[in-house]
Amino acid sequence: MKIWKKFVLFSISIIAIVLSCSRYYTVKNNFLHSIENVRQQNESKHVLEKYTLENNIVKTIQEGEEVTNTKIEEYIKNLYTYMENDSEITAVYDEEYKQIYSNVSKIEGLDVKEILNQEDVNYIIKKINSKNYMLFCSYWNVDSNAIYIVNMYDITEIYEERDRQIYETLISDIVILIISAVTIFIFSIYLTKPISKLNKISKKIAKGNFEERVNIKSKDEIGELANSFNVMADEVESKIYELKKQVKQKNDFITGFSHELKTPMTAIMGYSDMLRLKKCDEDVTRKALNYIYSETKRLSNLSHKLMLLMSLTDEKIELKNIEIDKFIKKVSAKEEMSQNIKIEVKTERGKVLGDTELLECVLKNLIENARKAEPKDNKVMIIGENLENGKYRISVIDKGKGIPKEHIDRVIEEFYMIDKSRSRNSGGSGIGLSLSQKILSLHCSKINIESSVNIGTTVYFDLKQEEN
Amino acid sequence: MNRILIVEDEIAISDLIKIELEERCYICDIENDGESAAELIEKKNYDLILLDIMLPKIDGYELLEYIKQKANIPVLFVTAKNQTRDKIKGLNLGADDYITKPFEIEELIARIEAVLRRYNNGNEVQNIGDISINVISRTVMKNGREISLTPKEFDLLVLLIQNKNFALYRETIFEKVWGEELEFETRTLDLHIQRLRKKLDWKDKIKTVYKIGYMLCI
Repeated sequence: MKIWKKFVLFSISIIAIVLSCSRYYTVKNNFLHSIENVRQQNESKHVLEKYTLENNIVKTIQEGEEVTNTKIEEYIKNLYTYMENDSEITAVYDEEYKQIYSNVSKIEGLDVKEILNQEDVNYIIKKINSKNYMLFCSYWNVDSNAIYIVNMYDITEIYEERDRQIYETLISDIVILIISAVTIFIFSIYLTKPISKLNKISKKIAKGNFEERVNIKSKDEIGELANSFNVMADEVESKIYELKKQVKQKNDFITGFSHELKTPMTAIMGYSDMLRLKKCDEDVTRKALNYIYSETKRLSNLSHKLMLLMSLTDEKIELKNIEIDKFIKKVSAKEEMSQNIKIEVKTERGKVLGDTELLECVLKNLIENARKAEPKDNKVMIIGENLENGKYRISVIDKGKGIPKEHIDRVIEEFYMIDKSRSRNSGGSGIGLSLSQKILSLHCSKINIESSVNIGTTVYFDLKQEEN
Repeated sequence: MNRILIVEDEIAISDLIKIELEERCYICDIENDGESAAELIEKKNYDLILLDIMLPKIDGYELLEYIKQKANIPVLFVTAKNQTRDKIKGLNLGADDYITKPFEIEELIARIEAVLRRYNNGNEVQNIGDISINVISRTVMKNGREISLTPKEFDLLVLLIQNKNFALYRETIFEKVWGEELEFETRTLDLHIQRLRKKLDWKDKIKTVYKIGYMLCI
């Protein structure tokens, strides 16, 4: 059941119960009060009538006359000549409860004893011929004979008044209930609207639309809930995004890796199969062997770098003091020879903390990348300088092709290549930069790249100096 | 003679395919990136295109769509992407076949021939000298008369035809026909060669090459 339905049903029931209780109490009290008033009035009337009749009878006896039924009838008739009243019925009975007189023809279902037997009150209320009567009865003895006088007073009006009140309160209660139901309905819809909104949005999010947000501005608990909900959704979205990114990176890695593996394998398999199946001529044989050799070397290079990359994960390395200026010169001289490119070195003196083998690998990779950018002057520049913050910055600068802006952030990812054929032809494997990045992160540093297309690229990183 | 365009950025692999295909009398051109391949397809007519997916500038999928819009040239993907969804994507885009690296050159040749056969209206019968060979029904006809060959004899014949005019090494022939089922047994091979020569009456065509093995001369 919807909350608004529960709310409306519950409130209406409460209102209805409270309302009817109070109405019942009021109407009942009014009624009892009226009955009591009428009783007092009628009782005094009855007593008056009784005494009048009694006086008359006593007088008759004192005058020495015999009291007969006719006499009594006469007295009462006399009484009623000035007390004419339709709503009042008087009857007199003798001691055998035989009716001596009545001002109406016949009173059905009246039992005098019944009235006399009442304990606390001296009256009963009886419905006769669809009219409500209040009955009083008294008796006195005349010559050892009892005479009963019964007065019936019509109190139908009081009952009618009560019924009218009940009817009126019923009508007004129904109106009140309808009005409050509508009001509560509107109010609960207003209250639960944000909740259903929240519900709708959370369903959408559950279906995978993680960018959905709730727009509820109120400052109450629901507003707070909506706010925390949005915070949660933000968190979930960013986590999902992070996960997706990780999965994508992993997939990219696997795709790149398998491509890097399969390509040389295909070539090696194909050429060696060709050579072992048939007798080829000299040129083809040489070509095939060259390809087999270079592709094998490529595989070996890849596996070496990959092993290094894997072994570096989570591993702490021991950092030693390095005279960095001498180190740069040494590595540059070696690479100048092996990579066949001119390297210009400008270094300030400095001592840094690092691992020589790993740093050599970084420097070698950066020089290789610079060479592959095909610098116009066929030259790579390496600058080493002391920074004001106490670090030592090494920059590798080339005047080559440069990296398009949209690729700069991604070149560090494994197997990410801007132009596959170019880097392949120059012998790249696609993990040089990510390997360097990993090595530098172990030195609490990272690779920074500044580049513009066709002007050149500067790659730099900062190393901690030895503390004196 | 069939003209084949190889679009592959790995020179080692494109060279390998070219060497093998040219031995089998195909005419080959090589392009290293998608863009120049598209230009070449504009200019020349090809009977078949071998296409890598990961290509510089324009990738294989894009190039395939371009090719299929232009003409009904059969395209065979040769790629390192071996995931099922890549294959499905390639084939759905209209590629005629899909072979993943690393592949054996014989399989590539067989697939190229199969695709070409499909495009030549089911002409799966090859005529070599005086015999015609159907690789689908694995039957051999000589002068309109069917010659019954054992499965191994048939495989041996197909290998010789695929590498016609090349001297093939005994051990490799044995390995390719019998696989790893048997240890190398020169007598088994020699016996099958003799049976083939006799059944086809190809005594002069299947030559014994001294110290190497056998060669089919056409």
